[in-house]
Amino acid sequence: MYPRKTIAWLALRFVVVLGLLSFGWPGVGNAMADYFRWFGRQVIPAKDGLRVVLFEKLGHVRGQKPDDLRISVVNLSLLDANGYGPVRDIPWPARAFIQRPLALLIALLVATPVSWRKRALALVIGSVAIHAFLWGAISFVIWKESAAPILSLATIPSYLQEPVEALSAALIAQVSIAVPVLSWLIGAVPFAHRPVVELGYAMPKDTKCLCP
Amino acid sequence: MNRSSKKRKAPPAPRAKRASGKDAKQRIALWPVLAFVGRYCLWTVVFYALTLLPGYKTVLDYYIEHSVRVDSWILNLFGEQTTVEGATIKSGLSAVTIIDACMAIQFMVFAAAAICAFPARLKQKCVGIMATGLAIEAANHLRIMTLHLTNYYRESAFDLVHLEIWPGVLVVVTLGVTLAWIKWAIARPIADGSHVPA
Repeated sequence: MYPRKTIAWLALRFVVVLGLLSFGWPGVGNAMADYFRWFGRQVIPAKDGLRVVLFEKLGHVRGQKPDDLRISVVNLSLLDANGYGPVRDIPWPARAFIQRPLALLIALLVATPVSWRKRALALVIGSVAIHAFLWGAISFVIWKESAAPILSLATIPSYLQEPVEALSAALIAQVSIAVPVLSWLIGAVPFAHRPVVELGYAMPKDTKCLCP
Repeated sequence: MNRSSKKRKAPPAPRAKRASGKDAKQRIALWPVLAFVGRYCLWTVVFYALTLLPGYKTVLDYYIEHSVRVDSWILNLFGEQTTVEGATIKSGLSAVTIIDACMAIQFMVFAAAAICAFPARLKQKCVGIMATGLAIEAANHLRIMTLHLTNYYRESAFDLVHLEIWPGVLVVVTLGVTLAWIKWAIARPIADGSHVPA
């Protein structure tokens, strides 16, 4: 175990970095909304058969925050001649899904006593993991909304309705804490000085810590 | 001091077996982490599956209403004049309504799943789940009370406190208590002298 003073110093570093990086500084919300819209457009096809998915920024709308996004799902076959028809809107605050997980990941890495090279490697691994999870979560939520009766773009059996809702809620809730923490564990902890002992697993007697 | 004594060469220290190659080096540490992550995901699914049980919504609503009553009672102890209406704390023109997402359930699930996934004794896990649950619950009560006070005394700062400060504080509290439990669980030896069962 590390001495208490070291732990306190690392904890302080974590809190300060987390506070600085997750705060909504001027311009950050707008940048996050732009980034998320770009990311969404890259990973989710705008038109897939009859389904159209739009990522819209709402920052200019009164009462909305600069990072507010709206993901709209439309069934093309249900639109009338003027382009009107039923839409399912998914509110998506971009900062909660991109800035905060990344801020938590970076804060954990800065507070982990490993070299900067390993931190950079862990940051790459963690960022990829967060983006991959987000891709999965958005795809799932869009699929769930596509199955709404007013769109009928997909079908969810009635006995699966509640599990699907619960899974959707779980995916959204886990983005902010579990995904960055697990990404940090995978990316940084195996390379830390006492990886196996820190995790509490029994090491064979003749095994030395092999980390440089 | 006898200078003529022969210098003895110390016997070479037994060298630990080293895994050969860089891959083997990383595999040693990575597998336990991946196993932990896998178990964490399974436990998360189990905890969210509990929300599908009949009666969960009733229990949650009851829990929210009673949490709000407790918060109102504590605020009134400090001279505030709050009233409760369902899941809403009122005070003059200020009202704060508590919904399911305000109950920090995702943080409790995170801590409980991490504790269940960690290799420790059942008793230690029970202590961990209780302690982390209580700490997160206490932080959340404090959050609801400060949000009510902010809304009453300085409404313009409500978004700042609600969306900027408290999410970060809850993350810090959750991680802090979970890591403190892990430190505690590792430090406690079990019967055969080792620290944590594999």
